Amino acid sequence: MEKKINSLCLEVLNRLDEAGVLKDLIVIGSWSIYFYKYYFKSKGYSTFIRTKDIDFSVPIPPKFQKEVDIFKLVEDLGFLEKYRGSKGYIKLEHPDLSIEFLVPERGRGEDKPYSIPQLSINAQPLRFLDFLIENTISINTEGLHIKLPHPAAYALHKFIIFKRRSKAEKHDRDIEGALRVFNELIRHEKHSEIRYIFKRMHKKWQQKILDKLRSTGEQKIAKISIE
Amino acid sequence: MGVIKDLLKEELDNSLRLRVDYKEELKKHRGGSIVVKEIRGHNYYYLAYRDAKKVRFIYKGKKISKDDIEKLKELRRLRAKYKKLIQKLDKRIKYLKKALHGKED
Repeated sequence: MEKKINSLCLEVLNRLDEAGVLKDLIVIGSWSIYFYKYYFKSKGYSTFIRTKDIDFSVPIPPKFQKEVDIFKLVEDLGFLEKYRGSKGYIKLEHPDLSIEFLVPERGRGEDKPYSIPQLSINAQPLRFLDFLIENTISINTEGLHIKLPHPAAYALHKFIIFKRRSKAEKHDRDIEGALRVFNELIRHEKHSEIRYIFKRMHKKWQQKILDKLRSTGEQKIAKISIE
Repeated sequence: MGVIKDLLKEELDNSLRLRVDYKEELKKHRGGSIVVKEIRGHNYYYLAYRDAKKVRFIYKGKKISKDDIEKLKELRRLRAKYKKLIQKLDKRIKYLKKALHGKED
């Protein structure tokens, strides 16, 4: 089952790459945890994820050099184009994988989808995405260059947004994934990277993260962040 | 246990919703085959498709382009894919219901 989902995900990424748009997208969300295995390259790292949603962050303004109808690109794989929620965000759905697009929400925010005509889709604006977009890495696998948030940025970001999660189960899932990434960074002695990214954050965010880390008994990570 | 149950329930809801969506797509994308009727020495092309128990014919013209044939082939491939995915969802729904001891609404 997991193997099938992974191969479907790789097929989607391949098609985005061939269409020339993958380089302008960032894979965020739990799928990052899976792809970090190519960054950490360690056998002990668990890539287990409990979601089928793959989220792509689109930096704004979008800089796509080609126009691509993303839905048409994956339609023959069995994806359906669905408009979800009261706002009508586009989600491409398949029994094994769902694709969504997100853009950073700025200022007061807009209560409607952000249209990306170059890809014939719309995207959901979300807070704090700029932080992930500003701190990225690239991994190479199966001949693909996939952009991801830096693992430290990914883990820190989860500690900022945890309160915005409406479901406790999702909140717990986020924190568990973030801690797994933090621990792997520590195992690889990447303390300076955690610190560097943490120090570039807004003071209020830093405090929020430290409070949550301490309340969950993760003093070690809190200490590494402020050393 | 509650967390696992919530996850299974969420997956069941998603699978049920997606199954409805695929069935709607099948209705929307009518399949069928191109048939040729020879009437008084002339060929006339029709799209034949099944509508419940009836087979219906839609007249396409005296000629049919390669493009139309290709589109129809593509549509048939898509319908086959949707049917396969519905079967997959049926199995998944059955499994999830068993795991949850739930009933379909």
